[in-house]
Amino acid sequence: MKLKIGDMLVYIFIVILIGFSVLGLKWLGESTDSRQLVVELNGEIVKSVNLDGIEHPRDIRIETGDGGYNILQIAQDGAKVIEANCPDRVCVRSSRITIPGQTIVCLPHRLIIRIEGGREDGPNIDSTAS
Amino acid sequence: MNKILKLVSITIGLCLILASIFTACSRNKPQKYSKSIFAMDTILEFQVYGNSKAKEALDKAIDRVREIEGRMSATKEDSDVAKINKNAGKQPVKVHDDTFYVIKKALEYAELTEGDFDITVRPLIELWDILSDNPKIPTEEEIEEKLPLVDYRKVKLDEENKTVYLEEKGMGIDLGAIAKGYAGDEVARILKEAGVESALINLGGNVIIIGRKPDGSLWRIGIQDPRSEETGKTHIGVLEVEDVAIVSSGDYERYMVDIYEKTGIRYHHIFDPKTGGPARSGLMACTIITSSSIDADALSTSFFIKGKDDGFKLIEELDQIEAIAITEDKEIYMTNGLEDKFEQYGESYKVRH
Repeated sequence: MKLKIGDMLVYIFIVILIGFSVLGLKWLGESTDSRQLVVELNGEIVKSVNLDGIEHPRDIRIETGDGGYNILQIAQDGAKVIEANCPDRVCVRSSRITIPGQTIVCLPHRLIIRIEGGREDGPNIDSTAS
Repeated sequence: MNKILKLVSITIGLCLILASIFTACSRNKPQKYSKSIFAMDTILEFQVYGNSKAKEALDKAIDRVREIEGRMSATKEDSDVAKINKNAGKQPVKVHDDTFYVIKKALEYAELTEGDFDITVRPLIELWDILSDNPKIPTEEEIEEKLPLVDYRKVKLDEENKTVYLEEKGMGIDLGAIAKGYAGDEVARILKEAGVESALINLGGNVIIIGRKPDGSLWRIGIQDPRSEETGKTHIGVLEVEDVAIVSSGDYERYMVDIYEKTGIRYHHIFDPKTGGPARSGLMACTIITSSSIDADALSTSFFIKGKDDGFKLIEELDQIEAIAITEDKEIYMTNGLEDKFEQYGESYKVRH
């Protein structure tokens, strides 16, 4: 049986493609170049906004359950909580977040907003002591 | 026909080889179990590597943290601490063994630091009410009135009956500067007892590390930049570590934001028991690195109150403790043992020796 070299090459190429697409799918899930504002309620992500795509600042209202709410103002550079009906309003008095890794927390409403992604502009870090 | 069959089977064979290489790689890694919870007035994050025993241990550790909070939080009505405070000047209160242990340890630190670390600051915490809706700076008179109540020597412990008594009415204790540290050690204990060899725990900024990362490399822990909103960087540097507890204290964690924005003065949450106000020691932040989390927690607050010179003096008298101090002049000082583990990030601060 004689194999044409051409055929062999095509088959090897197909196998390599399959291999890379498996790896590619894996990697795709892990990296993102755009800055995202992620809103987590009770440990679950309820909203993810691409900050790089924002032209004008806008407000988002998050209903946190049992009549609770927080209003976030988001802009291209970051976000802030501008209004909330939680008992201590620590979230409203927290400073604006602009850098990936920063968070604002509303404990009574079990709400966390954080900035994620963006080009890797810092040391690779597993956790922050603060 | 034969030719096609052979080519197809070669293709499938190669694909299977590739697939098994990928799955074999992932099966050799220990499983990662992560959880984030709200407790102790902050976010607690757990990353534990291991098998199903590790998962069970993580759940057990989280239950233990909630139990500790239930006993040691000054603001939970039925906690040991709340009961102690309610009975100040009246009678001793029997508490759980762990609460007793933590209070005893806190008093030892008070002795060691000559009163700079003092858990009897609850009256000051309530007076200043840093995070209130109507932030107000207390007057000198209001502070003077509370100062006599701030005195660790007026806490009486009965070792046999496990009771705690605050001698004067109006006194109160707050374990905020040490309870998370204790919780960290308990979490580590429970995980290690279950055979966990790799874990990263972050209790509201208090970092506890077990072993190395699953791939054998050191953990990289960032040290928070106390002025990240000015410098634009979250961290001043990174520490490469294993098997250690890292706790930071700083004037950036909780402070009266509105007043800061108007006046530029930070009224932060780390009170100096001797002045009755936020500690003004010339530091913006400090970090303690040592094997025990309860020590790291107590020493971090103590160091912050003492300032750079007395802080390093205290650390040097103790065994196996490393520290980083960040001064208001944007300088970083550290103990010798850290110099090859610390990697500076950014140029906003000057490292000095």
